[in-house]
Amino acid sequence: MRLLKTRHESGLRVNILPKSGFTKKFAGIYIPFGSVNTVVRYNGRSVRLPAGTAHYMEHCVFSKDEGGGLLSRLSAMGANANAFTSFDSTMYYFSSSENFREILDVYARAVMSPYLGQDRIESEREIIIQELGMYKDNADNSAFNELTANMYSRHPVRYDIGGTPDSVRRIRPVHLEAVKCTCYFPPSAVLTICGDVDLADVPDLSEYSVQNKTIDETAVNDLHFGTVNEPLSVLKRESRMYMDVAVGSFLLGFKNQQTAKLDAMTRSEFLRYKKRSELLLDTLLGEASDAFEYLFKRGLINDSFGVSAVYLNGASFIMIGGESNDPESACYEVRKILNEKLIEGPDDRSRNDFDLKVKMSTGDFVRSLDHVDSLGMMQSRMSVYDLDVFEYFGIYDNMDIDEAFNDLRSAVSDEASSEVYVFRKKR
Amino acid sequence: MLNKDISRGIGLGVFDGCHIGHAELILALVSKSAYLDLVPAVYTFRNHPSYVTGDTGRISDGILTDDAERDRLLKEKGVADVIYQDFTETFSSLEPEEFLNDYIATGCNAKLVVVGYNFRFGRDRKGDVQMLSEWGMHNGIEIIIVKPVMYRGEPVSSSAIRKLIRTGDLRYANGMLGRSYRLSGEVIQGQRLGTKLGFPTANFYPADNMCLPANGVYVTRLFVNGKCYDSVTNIGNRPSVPGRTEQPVVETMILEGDIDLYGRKIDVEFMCKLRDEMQFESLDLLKDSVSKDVARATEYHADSEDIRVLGIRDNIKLSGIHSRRFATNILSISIILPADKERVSEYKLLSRVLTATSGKYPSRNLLINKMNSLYGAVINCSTSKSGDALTIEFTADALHCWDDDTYSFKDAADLLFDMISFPDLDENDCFKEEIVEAEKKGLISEIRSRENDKLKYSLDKAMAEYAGDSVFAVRAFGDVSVLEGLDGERLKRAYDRMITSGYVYAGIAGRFDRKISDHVLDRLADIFRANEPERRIVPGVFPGYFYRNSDPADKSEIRDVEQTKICLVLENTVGNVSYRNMGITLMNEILGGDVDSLLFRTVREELGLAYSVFSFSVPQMNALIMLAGVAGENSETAVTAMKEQLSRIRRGDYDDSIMISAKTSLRSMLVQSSDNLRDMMNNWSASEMRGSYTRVEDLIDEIERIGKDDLCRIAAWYKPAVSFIVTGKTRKSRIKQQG
Repeated sequence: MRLLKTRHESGLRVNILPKSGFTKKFAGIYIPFGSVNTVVRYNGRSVRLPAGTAHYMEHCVFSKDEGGGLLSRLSAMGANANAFTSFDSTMYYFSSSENFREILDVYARAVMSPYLGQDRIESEREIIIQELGMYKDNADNSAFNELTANMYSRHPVRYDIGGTPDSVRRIRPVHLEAVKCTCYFPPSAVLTICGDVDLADVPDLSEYSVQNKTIDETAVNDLHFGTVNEPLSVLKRESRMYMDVAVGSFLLGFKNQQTAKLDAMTRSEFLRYKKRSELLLDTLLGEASDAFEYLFKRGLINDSFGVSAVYLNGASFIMIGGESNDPESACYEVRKILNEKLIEGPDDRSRNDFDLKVKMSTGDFVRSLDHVDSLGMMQSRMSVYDLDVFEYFGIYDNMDIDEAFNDLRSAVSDEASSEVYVFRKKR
Repeated sequence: MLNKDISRGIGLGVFDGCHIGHAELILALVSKSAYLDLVPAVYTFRNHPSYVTGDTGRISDGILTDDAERDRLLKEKGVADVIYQDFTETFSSLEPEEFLNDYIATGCNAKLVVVGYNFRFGRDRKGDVQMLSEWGMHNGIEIIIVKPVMYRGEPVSSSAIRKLIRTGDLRYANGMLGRSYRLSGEVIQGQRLGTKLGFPTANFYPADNMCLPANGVYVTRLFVNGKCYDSVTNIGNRPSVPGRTEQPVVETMILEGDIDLYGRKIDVEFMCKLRDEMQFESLDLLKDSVSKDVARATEYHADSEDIRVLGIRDNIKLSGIHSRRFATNILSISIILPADKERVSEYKLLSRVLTATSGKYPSRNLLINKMNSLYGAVINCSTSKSGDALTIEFTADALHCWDDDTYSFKDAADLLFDMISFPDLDENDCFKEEIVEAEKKGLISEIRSRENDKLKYSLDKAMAEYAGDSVFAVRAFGDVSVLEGLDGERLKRAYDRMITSGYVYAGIAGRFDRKISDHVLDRLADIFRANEPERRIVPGVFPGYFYRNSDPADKSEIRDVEQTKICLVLENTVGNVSYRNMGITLMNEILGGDVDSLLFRTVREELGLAYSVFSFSVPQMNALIMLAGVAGENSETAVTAMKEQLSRIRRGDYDDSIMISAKTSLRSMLVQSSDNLRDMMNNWSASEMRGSYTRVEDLIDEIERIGKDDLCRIAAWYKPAVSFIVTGKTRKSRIKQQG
């Protein structure tokens, strides 16, 4: 199995991962535009976008029309289609076992030419506000938004990917038009197809390529997403939220102090950094760690406890947390344990655990190749780094726990951390 | 003599073949018997009635199952007793009423009688279903007439299956049977001509009265001593060699190599036909042809990802789906036990305790490190509840091997077996309190946190209201009040019960080889006590169906939420007890199972009332559930709109394109399930539960044949049963103002 990379004459970058013997085929269209991209250059001037514009755009691509909307149309052709907006990109994807070429043609054309009539924009607005309402009832989501808002004073990561009801109400056709013209066209997108597929499946999107657009040429190669001068410190050290929950929770966030260094890394350096950090955090606080066992046995955490990290241009942070009957004690203990571990450095046990986690991770990677859609999605996500999945496999070579400890020590600082507690509100 | 103090549900019929139509009848019998507290029994005949009535045309093709096989298959489907009647001249001359009064009502103490739509009985076959229904009404005996079951548009019947077998269309016949057709016999000493030609075979003469496939060569599987072997079979009169036989002989060659089976009882299952019987002019030509047959059969077996039985030991069956497409193997071991409130919680906690540590790896760290050392093998234990049965499933999901041969799937399977068989116990042979307490706290915290998600909460509350205090109301995730009282000693008792009294079955999928499957079977037999020889564990009567006996209820609760959460539960009042639920599945797909559904199109897209609105069906609860999160001020409009979408299906008031889209979507989902080992395993597990296997292409065919009228009928079965609405404070103040 190997990846075929090409650039279509429309300017579309194409990744083809042939995997025969499977009926399922996958396609993902990666658009390098997400919620943190709050400024675009359009017709020679900067357009500042309200929070949630990228997510609104995703809705507009799928918005209803006389025929029931794109999703209905794709579904009727046999596609299981969906999309998501993240901080730094928007991904449109589907899998199907029939009509693959036709579905991809319809889908790709819809992505490249979202209809942005006032009627359609308005019809989505209320649905999006409903969606935000749904997330607001979710304690995890609310805690996450609170944490990013605490940690970041300027970087747009501090806003919910979907924006707020107010920001969504401020989104105008001109904002969406600006996004459409700068990001939703072939040269800026990456298409990944996987399964029993070949180049002939790739639709000709030349009509949407830059030559046919009447936009400012400079906007094509010089996407400007706005730079921010984000301080290393956090805005707020602690938040306490009271919600209608049965079990409380906590989130402990560390603003990565090495963000500037990360931004300057080569892609493969960065991926190795990311992977070894993940593996180290899992070694120190994951299910097999003595920290987990200690907290779990004391009833301070349950299986929802976890560690994750977000890496964005100009904003990187680590989050630790989960549900707890005593969120404050749990958070206190986690912070204490992490600090102790970082001071002690690696010992025989953590070295052994780390090596086994590398082994597990390589096995997981090979197992993921069994699934057309997970393989396709993995490659689509790799588009961010312009890498192919098989190169990615190479990052497991020579994973070094000492290096990982050094990375983590220089990344986290108690002074640049924030805690969010969700407590049960008395009814 | 029958004990007449026992009240029985009686299934009447010959049941030759125990095909998928019979399975529907048995399901109606066992589920209704459970509801009425009756013992489900089948009243049948030791010899086929046609031998006495002289209507031999019906069985001129032979019979499909002998008494022992029929008995086994009926009991496997939940029948408790099989009552045999000798079909004599005297018996055949009974008047229909005489038969019903003396033999069924009095003789069997029947309170329920279930028959097929074309059942005839009594002298000259005068009695029919109309007469039976009237008799039941007069005598206070409930009668269920089971409608014809269709397979690819044709009604399923034993005679249709016999004809298909006789013409060699085994694939079609097997579809109607729900399993592969099987012939059995004792291996005889032949002339060893096959061995001389390089193709050793095990030969037997099947019983005279059995239905024989048309003469020819077939892809088969051979079963001997609880093991299964890929094989190729010739059935015929051996026209090309000396010693032509009058009676057709079954000659089976095991593809894996020569095994001496002389004198052994073997079973041969027929998958499909390769060619007709031919007469060859020379032994060389015969040899060439057999070589080609062997090559084609080998290829068929290698490429076929059909579910197959790999072996049976102590009545514990190991099934397999062999596939060369995946780098992974999955081993699944299921144990079924009767469910009640206490047990569900015990086993939920036990499932966590057994995977937290083990006797060999007595800490989380050691156990997880062991899994990591096996390239991230995932060993899991989960519990689920289906009707009144609880299933505990252990799985090992791991790579088949690693390039340097330092690891193979056998290591992962062994870790799983060690975790089951050597738990981490204290000096009193009980589970360690420290571990039990920690897992208990974690589990209770997770159960409580379900309430954090108010949509889930509204569903939990609605289902509790719907199922009342029956065992069906018990949710698989456990009950806090029960969990709080559990300790290491009680868990050990639950563990012992699981090992010694559960009904066990296992499956393996992926690249596994015979070495691994034999090893798995050995270990299963070592750990678990043998399954009951005949009747499988049927908690209550499994699968138990829920029949609700309460009035509709509308409940609501005011909580601190931004969005109102709506859960509507509709009850199938007709009580569609069936293994064949594709009609309900399609109806749900149109209602709210997909993005091209009426709920999505109307409630979300047209009316803009909800971002998330969907539906799903729970067949064993006879329930259809609609869920939505809406702005508080829209909740009443949304409830009306949601109910209206079901009414539209009842009226057939929707565009044909939605039906086409729903069918496409289901077809796609079914086809794609063959690309995922776990989905394939789930399909196997469902087949194991119902005791018959349905191929994906048959399910697709069933969907394609469903029309709008069918869906109007199905939608009309559902009536509102419970609504549970969680509203926010704004709504509360509005209610106050209105109030």
